[in-house]
Amino acid sequence: MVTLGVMVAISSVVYVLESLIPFPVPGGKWGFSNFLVLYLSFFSGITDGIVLAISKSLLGSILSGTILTPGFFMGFLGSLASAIVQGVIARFNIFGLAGISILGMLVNNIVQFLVGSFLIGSSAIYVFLPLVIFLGTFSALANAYLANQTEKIFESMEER
Amino acid sequence: MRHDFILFILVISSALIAIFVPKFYEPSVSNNANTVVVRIAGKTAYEFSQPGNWRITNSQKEYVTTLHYDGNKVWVTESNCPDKICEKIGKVGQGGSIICVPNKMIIEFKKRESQESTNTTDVQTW
Repeated sequence: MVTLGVMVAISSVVYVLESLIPFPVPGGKWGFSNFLVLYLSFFSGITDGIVLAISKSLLGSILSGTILTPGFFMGFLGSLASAIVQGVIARFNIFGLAGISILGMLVNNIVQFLVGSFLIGSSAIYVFLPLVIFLGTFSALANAYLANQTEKIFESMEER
Repeated sequence: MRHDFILFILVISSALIAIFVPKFYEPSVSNNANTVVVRIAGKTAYEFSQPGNWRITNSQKEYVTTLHYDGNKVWVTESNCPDKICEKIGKVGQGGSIICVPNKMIIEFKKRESQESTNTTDVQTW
């Protein structure tokens, strides 16, 4: 429970700070705050991943003042859907961290664009989807690396 | 992990195809008779082809943005939304669009209804 609390804090801060990193698609984010959701989905279980996805989106958007805006609903539902999918796929021994991270990124972006196109009542938004997925693949790999490093930290803590 | 690598290659290559293939089919940019369409919540709110500044208000008559159209490209010069994403998109021409999620607004060029009549090519072969 304490660990989960720390993870919520870290993810929320990353969620706010990463909006300062330039992203080629206007309004887009790299999505590095998802690395702990990936970590929990993979190493801990689907429930912890979902709890973190919900709480970091809520806390992060309260901190950045974007809560209940259309952008918040896109991010919130995307993050939630990706936590569920990552948690389910992690139960099968098909993909490693990197593969699950990429699949999570795909689900996250597709859900965000579905919500976005529903909100603005147009499909014009989909023009950006391929570019966002292309860039997201690299941040998905970075997230897989970060999740792996997180596991190493926990392992070394248990050895002590 | 072999599956991870296959997935990575599949996702990257399909994203690249989806980015670059549509570029071959984009209509050539012409400098005349372009109509800018502003749609709010899926409904056409404004349509104009005259260059100038355009003040956009939503269905509740609340100010949304100010557009500038120079006859060739259109861009947002001022917006009420805190994100300013529409302003950052910059100038867009035929085939481009400015999307503002907070105001549920899309600014784009009207697609030409009859491509054949504006097409000066006699025969196209592949």
